[in-house]
Amino acid sequence: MALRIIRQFLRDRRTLALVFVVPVIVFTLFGILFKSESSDIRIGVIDNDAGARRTIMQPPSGFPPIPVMKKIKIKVAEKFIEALKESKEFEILSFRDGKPEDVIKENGLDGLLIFSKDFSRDVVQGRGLKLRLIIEGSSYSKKTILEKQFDKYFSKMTPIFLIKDTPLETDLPVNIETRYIYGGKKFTNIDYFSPVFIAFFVFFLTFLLTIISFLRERAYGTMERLFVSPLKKIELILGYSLGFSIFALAQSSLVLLFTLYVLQIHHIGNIYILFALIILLAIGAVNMGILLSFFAKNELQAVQFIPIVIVPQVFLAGIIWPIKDMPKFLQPISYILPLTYANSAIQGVMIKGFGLYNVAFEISALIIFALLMMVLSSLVLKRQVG
Amino acid sequence: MNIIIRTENLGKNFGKVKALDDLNLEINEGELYGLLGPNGSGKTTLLRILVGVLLPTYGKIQIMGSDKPFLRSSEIGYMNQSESLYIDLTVQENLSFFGSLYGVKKSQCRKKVDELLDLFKLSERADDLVGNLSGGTKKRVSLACALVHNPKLLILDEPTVGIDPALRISFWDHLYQLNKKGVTILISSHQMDEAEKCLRLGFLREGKLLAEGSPAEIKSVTGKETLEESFLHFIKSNTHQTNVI
Repeated sequence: MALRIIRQFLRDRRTLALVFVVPVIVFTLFGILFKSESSDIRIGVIDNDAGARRTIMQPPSGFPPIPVMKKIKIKVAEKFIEALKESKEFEILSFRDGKPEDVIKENGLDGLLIFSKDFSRDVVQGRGLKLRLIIEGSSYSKKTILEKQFDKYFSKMTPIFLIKDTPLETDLPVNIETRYIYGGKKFTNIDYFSPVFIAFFVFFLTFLLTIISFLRERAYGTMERLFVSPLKKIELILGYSLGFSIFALAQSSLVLLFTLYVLQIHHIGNIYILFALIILLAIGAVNMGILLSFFAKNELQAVQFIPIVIVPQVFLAGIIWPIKDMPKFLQPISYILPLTYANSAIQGVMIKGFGLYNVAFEISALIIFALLMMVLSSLVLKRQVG
Repeated sequence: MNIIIRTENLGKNFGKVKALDDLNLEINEGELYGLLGPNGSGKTTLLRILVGVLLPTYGKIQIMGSDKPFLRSSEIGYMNQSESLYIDLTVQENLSFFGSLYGVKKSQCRKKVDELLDLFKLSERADDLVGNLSGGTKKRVSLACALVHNPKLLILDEPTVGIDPALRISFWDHLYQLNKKGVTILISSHQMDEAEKCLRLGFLREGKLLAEGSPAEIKSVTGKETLEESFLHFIKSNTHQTNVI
């Protein structure tokens, strides 16, 4: 029995490739992507610190050895910024004063630290370290780091800022006023990932169901009956697209309702745009299923497409890692995957509250994908053989 | 008489194999024509070309005056060897679906479906999933699906394979009735007893038409008593001329 099974599969080269080659590729991707995980968090700093005056005692020099009181101006913010830059934990960029949202958006920052003009004065007078931190908020991992790290960071750093012979209060309270542009403290990982998974499931299931459905039509002979009838090719394609889009909509509505009301995730975007994105994605997936069904002779071979079609998209479509943090040679692949655009748009809508205008690019990309698949599948679908 | 199907020097090669070899055939409107031949003689190939799902290698065809069967698809009813039904739909749903494909209007479709269910004694099984039916019942459903749109021409590929004698008789009854109403029927088979029931026969072997004529004529030409013997006679003799009577 065992021998027979081995014989059968040795003949099927595609299954062999599935069993041996694919895990290797997947683990390679794992290795590459997990290693390069140290993302550079870009933080801007705006230093409005006016400095403060402090009387220090200068050590006695000359004759007679009398200590002299001297007034100096110190700028604590500068020291902090220097130390931050030196620690190399984040990429620190300095900016002139400006509207925080604009500074962040124009420079692709993940966060912005603002030192007010009273910063040094507050330190010198023992009132504490008062800063403003603006978190961009659209990346879960980054916002978490920024939230958690800075509090600890600053309280640890205080002792460093003893200006050589002038002790500063070492127990200064740290008071960081945090604001978010997108998302917020209450946004957990579910909020970030669930919309993305909706897209993934729609694509995966629609594709799989279509390819199998088409294969069955061929296997059971009903496809021939369809072609003998007056049904036109375009009607067949549109019919399938419509039928599966309805399923995709139903499925994603259910999931959305569940995540919104049962899991109570946060969202601020327009749900109708979300549905439009899902329909477009479904149409693309259906036609891709029709197209690939011609390269599969049976259901087993159809299933073999899953690692090729689905797995790369899990890794490379920006679901787990943002695309700009991926190694450069992998990035072009991301740009031909439909899920990349769907995810970008969905996250834009759900987390950033983008409107149609902002996701127009992604919507166009999805339309192009759907049309391309439709054209290809209509070319492959031939009424007449031979 | 109108010629409803015509082939002119029709040929089909699959690689080196000549499935159809310079075939010239004419079928008149209203005929009940039986295409006979052993397995691999080219019967299915010919029928598939006639309904438009296979392209010939050379030669011409004409179906109801058109060289593109697709243009006449609403008037052709086709039943192929595998049942070609949706196993996860019920009998009724299959019939309605194929009706809708052929543009039968909803109101008429309902009536026609009921009529067919009655005719083929499927009324009790109307809500059963086709996947759960026996082979013979599936064939009945398949034939019914070919009739939903009242076609003028029926092309049936070995419709009675695997059907018990009683069912076979009722099949042929239906076919006779349809033929009486003016439906042209082209039916392929390799069972000689069915050949007797046809108006005109064509013997096919290795893609060539060996002989053509009514059952009686064929028998008298070969001097045999059964069509089976006549057929064997044709196979043995090396003549490739079609004896058109």
